[in-house]
Amino acid sequence: MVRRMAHAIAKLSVGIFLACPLSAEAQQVAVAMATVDQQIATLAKAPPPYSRDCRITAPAHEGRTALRQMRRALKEQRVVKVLAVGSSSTSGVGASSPYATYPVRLEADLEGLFKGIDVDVVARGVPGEVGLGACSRMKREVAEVRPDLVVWQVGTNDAMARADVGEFKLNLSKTLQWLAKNHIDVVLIDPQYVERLAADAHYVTMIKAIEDVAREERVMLVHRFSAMADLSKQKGEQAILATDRFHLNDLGYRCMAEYAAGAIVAGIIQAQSDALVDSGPHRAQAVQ
Amino acid sequence: MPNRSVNSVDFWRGIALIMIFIDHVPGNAYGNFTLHKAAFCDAAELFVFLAGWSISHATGGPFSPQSSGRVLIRLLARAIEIYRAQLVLTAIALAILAATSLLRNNPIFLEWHNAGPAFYDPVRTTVGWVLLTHHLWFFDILPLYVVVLLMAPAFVILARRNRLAALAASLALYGTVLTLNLQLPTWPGDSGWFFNPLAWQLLLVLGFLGSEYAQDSARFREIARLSVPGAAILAGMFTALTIWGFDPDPLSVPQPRFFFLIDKTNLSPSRVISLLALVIAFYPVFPIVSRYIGDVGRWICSLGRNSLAVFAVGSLLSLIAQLFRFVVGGNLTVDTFTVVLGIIGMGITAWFVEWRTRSPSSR
Repeated sequence: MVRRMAHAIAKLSVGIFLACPLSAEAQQVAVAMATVDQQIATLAKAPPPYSRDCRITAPAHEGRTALRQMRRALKEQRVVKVLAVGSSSTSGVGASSPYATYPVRLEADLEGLFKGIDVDVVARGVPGEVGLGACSRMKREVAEVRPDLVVWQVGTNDAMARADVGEFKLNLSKTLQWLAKNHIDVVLIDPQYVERLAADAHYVTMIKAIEDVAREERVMLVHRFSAMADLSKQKGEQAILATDRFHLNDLGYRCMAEYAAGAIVAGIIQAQSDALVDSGPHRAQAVQ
Repeated sequence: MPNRSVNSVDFWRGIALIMIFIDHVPGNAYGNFTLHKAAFCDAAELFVFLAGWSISHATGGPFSPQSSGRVLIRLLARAIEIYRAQLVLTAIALAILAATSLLRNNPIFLEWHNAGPAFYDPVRTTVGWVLLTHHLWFFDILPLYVVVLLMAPAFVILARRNRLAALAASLALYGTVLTLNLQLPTWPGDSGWFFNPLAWQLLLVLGFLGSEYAQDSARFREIARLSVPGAAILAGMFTALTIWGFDPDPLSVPQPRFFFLIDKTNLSPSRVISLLALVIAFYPVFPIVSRYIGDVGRWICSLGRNSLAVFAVGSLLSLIAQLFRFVVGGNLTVDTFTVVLGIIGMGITAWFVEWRTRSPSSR
């Protein structure tokens, strides 16, 4: 049903555009837009499952915050710019090669999910950096990269450094508000799971703080801690951690990328749904 | 050097070294009283400007300028000396972080201050920090100093022929770098230099030219004297804006954006103007201070006289202070304790260097 309606909308759109005296380039864009709509509708009908190695009992992301800028970028058929900000997990400490890091995997995952779309994930990971450092460099990085989406892996070092939770939340909120003001989509990724840290009260408090800020600022959150805890329970911690027993290994990064991609797809589907609701109730049903 | 009488350059450089030490312990309560809380610039700008000022004296000044060959060798020798200090500092800093990680059984210290690559990717990073393409944070001023000193002979030799041409060349490079966002590469990792030497060379050249003019131009000294009230008002405005929290949004300013920000990496013009206003406003202060200089003033001058050794020891002490503060928690008592010990350590360093130079056994 969903696919049929999406096809009908796509054909109608293409038909209308073809009937007009448009340039060949404009016609190509129209066809491509229809294709993107089809792809989003297909993903909405059957969200992509995690791969067998990364399968967990519940989705790693929470909520359905709309990623409007991402949807716009896809529909405009331009290069989708994603800025990955974070610490060692973003720079890829523990990975066997640069190709096994999470930003590289995320780029491949997104390009696999949206055929014909060029995604450029720019990784700006600074090992050891705390949230305050990331907040202060965020403006500079955003001004340089001009991303559609920021994927922000945050909190692990603050939790380990026993940073002040109130100050951390304040800085995180202020930076998220600045990103929202500038119409830049955000997906947050919460701290790393390591068994020996799971019982640490401050570590758990920091994870809760990120969850609270994500809810208050209405941004998509990837529950990496919970997802990796689930994976650890299934496979044992050593399956997803590097030999230092702290950073992720190749499989850990692959799963982290899949969880982030899942959240991004959910956000794009939500944005599409919101757009269709705005344009008419009958069309909104297309992605329900 | 140790017999040099007290002078304004050593005094202000001593002040800059103390402020750099305090600023290098983030969160320190005494950080509220350093330059960055009252100006767009901070002690790093003052340090580089004064380095340029000293180069004029070190290369003979305008009245007895050294030959181009001698200038080249002298500045190259100084660059090598600083490079050597940077290697030793980096090695010790890495060892301090590794030892803390072992003692505290916590891997987080291995990632402090961009040290992670040295431990997790040692093959490439060892090459990187020896080539100065990988820097530990808070240990990134000396790499800047090495590069600007390598550039300095060209500016000094040109300035000794035509000062305005040297200023124009420096400004042209600065303007190009800010417009095109040119950076020296870092490797491994592409975080870029925290201090972009291609932009920061301007301060060294301004310091050098200021010193040359101040020595041989009565007109320049007169203009500087007449500019003091205006510069003081300008510096006061910068203080008010800093306290107010003025910080332009990089997405709201026109392009090329580094001209309109308060960017430290690329030394935005606002930081240069802020420093120059302070230099002119405080120009008449030292002659007054020198009358009542006393032991404290002389001691501050001794820090400035031995700036490389004092800076090196201060950098390591500030890292130890950071780690201590991290482990025991930050409060006014801890901050007072670490700042006092750090400053005493810097003072002992200056005394030791001068004692060793005086001691016949060292010859």
